[in-house]
Amino acid sequence: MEQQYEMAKSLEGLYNGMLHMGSLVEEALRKALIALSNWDDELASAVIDEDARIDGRQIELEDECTNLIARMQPVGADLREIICCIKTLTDLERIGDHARHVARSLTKSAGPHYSSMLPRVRVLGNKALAMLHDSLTALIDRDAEKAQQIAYRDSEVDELHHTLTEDALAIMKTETQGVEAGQQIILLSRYLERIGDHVTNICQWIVYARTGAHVEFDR
Amino acid sequence: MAREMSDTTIAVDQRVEKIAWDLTSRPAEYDPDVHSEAVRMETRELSVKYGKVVGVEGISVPIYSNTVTALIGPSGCGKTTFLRALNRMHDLMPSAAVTGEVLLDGENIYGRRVDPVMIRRKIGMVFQKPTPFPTMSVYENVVAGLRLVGIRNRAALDEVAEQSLRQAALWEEVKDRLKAPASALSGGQQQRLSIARALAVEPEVLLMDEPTSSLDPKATARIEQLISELKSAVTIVIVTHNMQQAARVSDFTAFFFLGSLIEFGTTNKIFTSPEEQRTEDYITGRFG
Repeated sequence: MEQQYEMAKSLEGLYNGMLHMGSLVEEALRKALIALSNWDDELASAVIDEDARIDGRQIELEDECTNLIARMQPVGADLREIICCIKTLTDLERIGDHARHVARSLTKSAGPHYSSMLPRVRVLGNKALAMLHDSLTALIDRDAEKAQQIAYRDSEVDELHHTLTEDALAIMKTETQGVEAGQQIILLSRYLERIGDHVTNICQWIVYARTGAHVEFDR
Repeated sequence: MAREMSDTTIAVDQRVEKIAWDLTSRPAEYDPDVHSEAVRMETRELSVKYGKVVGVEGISVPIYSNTVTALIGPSGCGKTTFLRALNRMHDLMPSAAVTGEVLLDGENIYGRRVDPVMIRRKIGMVFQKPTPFPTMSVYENVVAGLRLVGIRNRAALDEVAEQSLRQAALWEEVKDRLKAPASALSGGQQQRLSIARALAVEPEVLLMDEPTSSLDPKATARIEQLISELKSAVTIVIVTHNMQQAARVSDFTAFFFLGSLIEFGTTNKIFTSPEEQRTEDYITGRFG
């Protein structure tokens, strides 16, 4: 009884901490996208600086997982929830890195092709951002069904990334001035597409925590 | 743009607020330098010898207020000897010689003018096996300590009996049979009765010597729950052979080996990354 109660309390704290870190990551990504559209250097620097805080949070929460395993010897669903937490923390941290990469990519000199393609990058980014937001809700609700629905949205992100890359390549092939613009767009698109993959991973871990089954949503 | 930014910030802020995650409310790791005011007991170079046999030697350790400190180590490592020195139990053994200091709230309990009876009132003890007075009733067991110090007022005794039994999580089970003999209770109930009796005199510190080793898993879980509940009222030092129990219930852990204190630290630290190789070997089951 006591152990179950203590465990439930500890897991609740752990998941709240994870949601807090997830919110920091979500905020970083949102700011990075806004900085990109608005050519806002200051906001981009803020995102870059904030990343260290996210990394610190990851370490703290991983330590909490270690302590919980050492002290409570969790089994069954409790153990799966802690494993889900450890794996999710890694994905969240990687999403934070991609948000930082997006902020770093801010450029004011990539020319008209870049400017014209940027709104499509923003659409892609917003889709990834929405997936991230919803996955955090599914995580805290332990909602495996919702997680599955979120993961399926990754195909839209992949599709957008695919067409954006193709269009950027086409410009690079035809115009010398378009090479830098194309390269920038491909990089940005790639970062954001990877975020979708990490969110898909998180969704898979939610299903694992809930059911014990290893699923692959990205196949 | 300005509007978009502020919307973003609000959305995230609300979310963070909703989960009520307050970084400052997380329990900080205890740092003896920072938490010196919270030290309830402290031993300084404490040694206990039985004739020429060394029980423990040179133990210096702090016991923090309202925390649980677990003493672990293989059989014969000195953990029970150390525990018994904390409330002068060795006074009862002519062959035992105690040197060094044991401070309670800064005062050496082995000082010349200190009355050992008073010390044992402030520092209670619960033993391996339940120790109710078998012929006395449940009620009389709880108030025995108070009667010894001369309290006769029935209302006062009733109040303390109920409060102590509630604290020991036994009240609901015995409130209708307070006059029944203590020996009629189950083993787990008898152990909680022993705890209630120790709590009745309002000790500052409660020493527990393997309090669950004679109990079944269910009764053990009950006592473990009780230990975390009691923490707000008393400071607890517990000797346990069960390492998992130490990991579950304690805030601090002291590892003893061959009469020496090998390592003392937060339970998180001791059970995840101890400083000493011998501690690591013991907690991972390589010896002991």
